[in-house]
Amino acid sequence: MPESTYLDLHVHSTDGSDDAGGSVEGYLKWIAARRAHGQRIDGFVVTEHRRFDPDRDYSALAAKYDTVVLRGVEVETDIGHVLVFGVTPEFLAKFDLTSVSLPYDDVFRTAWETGGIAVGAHAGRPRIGCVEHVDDRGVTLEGVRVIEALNGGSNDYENGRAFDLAEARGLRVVGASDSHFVSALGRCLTRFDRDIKTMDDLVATLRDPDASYAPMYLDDTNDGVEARPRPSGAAVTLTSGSGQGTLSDHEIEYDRSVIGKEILVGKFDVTREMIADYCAALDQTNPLYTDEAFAAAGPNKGIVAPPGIVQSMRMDPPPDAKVKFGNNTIMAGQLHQYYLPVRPGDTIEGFAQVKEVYEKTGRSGRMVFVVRRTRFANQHGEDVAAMEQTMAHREVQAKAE
Amino acid sequence: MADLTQRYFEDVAVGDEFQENQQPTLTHVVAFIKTSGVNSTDGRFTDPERARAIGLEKPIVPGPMSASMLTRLVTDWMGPLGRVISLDVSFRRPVQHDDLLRCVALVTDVNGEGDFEGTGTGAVHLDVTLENERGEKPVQGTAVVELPRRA
Repeated sequence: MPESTYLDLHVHSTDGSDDAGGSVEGYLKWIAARRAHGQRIDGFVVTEHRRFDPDRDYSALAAKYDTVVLRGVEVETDIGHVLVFGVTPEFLAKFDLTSVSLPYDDVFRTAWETGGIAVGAHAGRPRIGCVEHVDDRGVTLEGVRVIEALNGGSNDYENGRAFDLAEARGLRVVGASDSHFVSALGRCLTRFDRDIKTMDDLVATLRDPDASYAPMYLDDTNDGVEARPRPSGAAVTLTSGSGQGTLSDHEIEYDRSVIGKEILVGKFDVTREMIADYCAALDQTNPLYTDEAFAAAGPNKGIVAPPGIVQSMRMDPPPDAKVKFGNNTIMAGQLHQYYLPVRPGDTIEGFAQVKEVYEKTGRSGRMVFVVRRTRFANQHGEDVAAMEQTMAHREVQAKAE
Repeated sequence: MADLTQRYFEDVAVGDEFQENQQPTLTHVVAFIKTSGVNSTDGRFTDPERARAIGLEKPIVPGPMSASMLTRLVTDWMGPLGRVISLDVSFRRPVQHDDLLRCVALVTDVNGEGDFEGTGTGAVHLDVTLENERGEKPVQGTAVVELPRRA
């Protein structure tokens, strides 16, 4: 009976992915908790978006938690995102990893020729997976041998499409969580029927056409649990819930002079009525925010506002980076940081800046992200909260009736 | 009425999970827009026809409202002496009107090393997620709260 190894091949961390919330040590603690519940995860591969730091070393952490921690990278190509395992100096020298449209055939060929292997990530997802590019543009998948068919961030329909493609084209398949947050780690993973401790072990196994490995769900790693069948792209009628756009070749233009410059955007007087209205809109019934007598006896010695209320303070628009891209803007993320309670009678001033502008590709195709940070200070000059909003500019088409 | 049971640091373990269900309707969204000022000129939050014109299947829930639902989940759980330090969320798919949402939080780390900001409390790290009835997780993120220690 050969050794088996359960690895999550696609994990993002706060060390290198701007949209991740999980730290590497957080993932390791989570694995320890999962093992205590009888689930099997032997390790994972950190695959940051468009970034590979050759000097980063997780060996001490890996040893501390008795877990395999390897490193690859997720790059962006003209057929979607691609995981690269066995990243060599030659590979890094050839490609600008920050590009959002690397030529896929060159990436797959170079990875192979330099001793590594490339794997098509979340293959069934719109835009950023290869299935749609095969269906819509007749891409031949030159040099593609393995795709990630079971992805923890994709729905069953998307994963089913990836399995269908793999079967039609004779591709090998792996599973991975694509986790950005700790609790998602291992949701999907790959069982290898051999012992894998190093990146060389992993690459050799994925390159070996006779090696035995298969995607699976974490829940199915418990003893005695029967593995679920793979999802089907035909059996599910679910469609993507998001509006999909088209890729654009426009150059990104924006006003770089506003980056990092903080300006006063307004002053807001907090009232009991405002707090009550905010609570009513959210069915928020916590008496710390709504009941004068209860709150007076509580830790804040009076009513305070729910933490999120700063986002409802109407102030002037923040500085405008004047991004010239796309025909639509959506909110992609929010970071709230809370320092002190906000009370009725407070006067809150907002100071806003454009923190950064960057681009990447997602389900909606190419997107430009603008991160704006607003700091909120009370009448005593104390910072009570800060908020960052990430807005994504993208190109969309109208939805058919 | 929110459960005001106090949560203590010592009683929390990695893997603990708590949740609430929400179903934001047009009425909820309109109320949120009215109080928050969060709105859009293209009708994406309230108008089905105009939402379709910008590529959406249905009107969607404003991102700050989704974030507020997760904040409420956490504040209801932690109790009166708890404090939210941060909430960091990514909007990965639209939250549509009338979606049946499971707001879920999972304890991913308990930081017992020293007092959090010298207050005698401990930091608890959470993954927070909105899950819809289609099996999607349109909003995912993390939160950090501080909880008091038992005396």
